[in-house]
Amino acid sequence: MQSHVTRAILFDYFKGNATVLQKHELEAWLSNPANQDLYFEYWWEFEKERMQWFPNEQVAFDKIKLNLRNSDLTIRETAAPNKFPRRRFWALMSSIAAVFVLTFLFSDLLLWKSVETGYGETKSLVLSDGSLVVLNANSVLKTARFESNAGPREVRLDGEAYFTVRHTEDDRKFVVRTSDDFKVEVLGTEFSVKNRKSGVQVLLDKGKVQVHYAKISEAITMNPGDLLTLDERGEISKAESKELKEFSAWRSKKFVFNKTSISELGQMILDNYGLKMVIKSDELNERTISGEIEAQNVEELLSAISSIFDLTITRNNEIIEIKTKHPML
Amino acid sequence: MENPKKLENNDHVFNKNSQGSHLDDPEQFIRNAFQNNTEAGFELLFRRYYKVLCNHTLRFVWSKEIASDIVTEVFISLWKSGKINEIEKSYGTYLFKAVRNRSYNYLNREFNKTVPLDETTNPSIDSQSPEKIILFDELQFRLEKAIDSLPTQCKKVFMLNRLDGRKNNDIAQELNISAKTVEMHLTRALKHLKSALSSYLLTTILCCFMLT
Repeated sequence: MQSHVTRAILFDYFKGNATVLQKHELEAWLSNPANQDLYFEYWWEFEKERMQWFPNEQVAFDKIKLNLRNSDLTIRETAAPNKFPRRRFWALMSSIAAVFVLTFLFSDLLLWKSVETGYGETKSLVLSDGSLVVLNANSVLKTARFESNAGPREVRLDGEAYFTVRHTEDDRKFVVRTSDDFKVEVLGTEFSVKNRKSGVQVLLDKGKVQVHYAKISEAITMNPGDLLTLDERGEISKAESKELKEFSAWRSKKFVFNKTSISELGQMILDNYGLKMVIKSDELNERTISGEIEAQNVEELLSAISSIFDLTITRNNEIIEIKTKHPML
Repeated sequence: MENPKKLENNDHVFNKNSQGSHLDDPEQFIRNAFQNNTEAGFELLFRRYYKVLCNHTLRFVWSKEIASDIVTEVFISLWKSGKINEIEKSYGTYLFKAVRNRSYNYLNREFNKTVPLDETTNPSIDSQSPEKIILFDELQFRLEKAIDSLPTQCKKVFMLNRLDGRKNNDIAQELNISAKTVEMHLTRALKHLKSALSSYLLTTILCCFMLT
């Protein structure tokens, strides 16, 4: 018997307005598994059309990632007690000597464990003290391999990351180093650090941090909303940044532009995606863009930018060309 | 606004609004993504379904917190159990059934003293009976009707408390009534729902037990 279950009827049913006869037909129609798939597809469309509630997807996804990924950095290395037979003793001694030499040469490798992200990739990780780090694209985070339970917790960052630092009971400091000269010290708080070729920036969300810069004898204290910049020339400056959104928007795959110049856009794309932007129209050198764009990857971002700001953007492998739309087209 | 695409043709390019996809078969797209990179596939699946499932689950549990917990658990369990690799046809069907099952179990625990006979939260991969699907729909209609039939003030208090998770003192302040009155309304609302549902839930259990 031919069934007459249509989208319209299903939507009526979803609203609670189906007749008894329609419900009866629906039940028969559902006995075919393929129709069940279609049924739930329609539910998807129905819910999508009428969404009343917009829960925070990113928060939930971060939670899931946390739950699924093991803590990369809990390393419990215990030396197994071994009894070496005498005969092997000298052989062992010489091999230990070799190890020490190598250790000295490769101390960086042995002492630090790294987590890296590629272009266009972000990673979330939990450190062994329970602190959370979200690492932006093209970045490297190094943590100490053998963590003692006293003394400051230290990490080294090349690139960009957002830190949510857990306050420990014994007030252990948490230190983010970007070089031998520059470090950010906190007790427990939320902040971003950006260490790229163009300099270092620290933005504080919550809590209090102290920045130590070798060229300045006193530590610099930051309060929430402060943005600290260390530029390429080694000059340090502090500003009150009201636009916290801009800085950490990458964590929710949102791009926030606030009078951002095209060359700054190019720098961001180079830093995060490894693509070089070439500006083909002179007037674009003066142009700035402002707005918020949600994009899952660089293609979506460029597509959005080209349509919103009326630009022509073409990509050829690693090079992106950007120019204004030809008035004749 | 017209926008001829100047980018090179790339399967993964959505239109500028990442909320909706103009691809013909999103499920197939997700499936393909899975072949290449399970994590990317999982994320795509999540982004397509999370908000929609939250709204759907809300119809059953009437609490935003519980709804998002249930949906999150479904995704976590889907990955951890490895079931995600076994789904051959529609991810959507599996996900909707999973949230419905969990919502149902939640309702049972909240409103029914009897222990349900069918505690499975993970649906079988094979299709379930049509009657079960219809019964779940009926459950949701009934809930809606029961809540709608609450007296105005009572309904308002109930929604603020359960749906939005507001504290009783907040609600009392906003509606200009005493905290005690708020409590009274809540007790009344829950009692009403319980009686409207309990016999229904019991019947459903028996049906589910016999039909699965």
